[in-house]
Amino acid sequence: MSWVERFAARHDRWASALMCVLMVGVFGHQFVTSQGNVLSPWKGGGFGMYTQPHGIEERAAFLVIDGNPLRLAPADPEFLAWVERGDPASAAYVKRMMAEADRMRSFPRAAQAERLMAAGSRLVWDKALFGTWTDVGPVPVDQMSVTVIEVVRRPSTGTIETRVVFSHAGG
Amino acid sequence: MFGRLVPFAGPMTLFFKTRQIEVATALYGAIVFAYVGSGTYTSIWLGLAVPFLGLAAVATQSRSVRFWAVLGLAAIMAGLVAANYYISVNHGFMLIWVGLGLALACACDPGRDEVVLRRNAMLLISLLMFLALIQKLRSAYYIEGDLLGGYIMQGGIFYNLLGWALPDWPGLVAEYRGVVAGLLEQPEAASVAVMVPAAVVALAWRMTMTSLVAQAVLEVMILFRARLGMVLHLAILGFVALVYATRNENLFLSVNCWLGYAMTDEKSAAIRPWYVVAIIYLLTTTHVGLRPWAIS
Repeated sequence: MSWVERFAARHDRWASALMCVLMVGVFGHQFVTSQGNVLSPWKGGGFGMYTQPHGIEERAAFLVIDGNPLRLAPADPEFLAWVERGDPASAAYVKRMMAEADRMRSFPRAAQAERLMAAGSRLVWDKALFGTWTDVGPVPVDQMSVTVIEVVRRPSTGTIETRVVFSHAGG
Repeated sequence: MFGRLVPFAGPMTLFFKTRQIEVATALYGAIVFAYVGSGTYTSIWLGLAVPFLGLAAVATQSRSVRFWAVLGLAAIMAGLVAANYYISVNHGFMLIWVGLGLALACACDPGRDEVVLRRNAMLLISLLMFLALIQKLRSAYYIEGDLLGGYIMQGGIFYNLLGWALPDWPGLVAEYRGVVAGLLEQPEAASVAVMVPAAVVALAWRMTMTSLVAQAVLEVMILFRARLGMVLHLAILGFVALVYATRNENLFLSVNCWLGYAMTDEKSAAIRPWYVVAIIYLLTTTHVGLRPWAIS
């Protein structure tokens, strides 16, 4: 019998207390981190589900390229079709960007935004994607930004709003 | 009672009633298996280990093997949650604590193990209800009924029943969904007025208050569990039914049922098969995507 089993068997009250401390510790971390609603209360193990708009389904992450917003999560259908028309290696590259953007929805952070913009700056963008696009080719990071928005449904006031929960400019 | 209703289930009922640790272990394995099989933020490689660990935990006669197998299942949950920390669902975290509570009980001597299991389950369900209540009470958005009202308008709660009660309900919902989809296309703050029937606002507010009261009452009932006995378990199953009627959260609800099962003692052993049936129903229907028409 290992020392872990001996401890659990002989000091079962302490073991139960330790279990509660771990659970409350994770809750405490989430409770503090989710103040300000950048980390969605739904996520992080803090029992804040069903208190605010959903931390993934009600949020969208955009890479704004030279003023042109491109929704990466959930992926804009036209953009997704454009990606899938490309060669498999490029498509895989862009889908990794989409996965990064997807993970940003519930808790967007500056480091993720920097990675996303760095990845975006290495791509050659097709002007067919954007009606107002004036140039074709790579775009430097300082002409990019990342924004995450959240839909807030307010039936009590008869409105639906969106609010920006995170924004980070490159450069 | 369960055995009389379904005569061929007699031996199963006896097993569910008398072998609390083994059944709790099997049910925990089944819930973890359902979690890893759900395909969202899980790993197929870690998922493959779950049935083997679950079988080892249930089939073994060795306390040590059961302890490590259950701890292994909890460790798999911990690994999946750690790898997807800020995107994992809350019941992913809860399954770690449940696994830990069960493993700690499995390490104890026969006789003592059921006492520790009951205590750990009581602590976990108390904390779950209490912490969730705190989070809800500090959210003005929830208290004002906007969260549940939003779900109703999106067609996510009682869509079919409201179709009978409200004129042009499908049209209103489609328009509402269209506005939401449009707002999600621009990375800036915006506000759009939408048509929301007064009945929806009233329903959402009443549902919100009912949910808060139900959670608070359940928390108080857990404190008086010794006196309440079977009444507490009926209240837990009632709470599960209430949530089931409004949202598709079967995995979370099966965790609640597991905690209820693990809290039962000799006096409330008659309810055990019903918890098992509830968990099997919740896991099966979520797997096949079945939801009764009346609550869809």
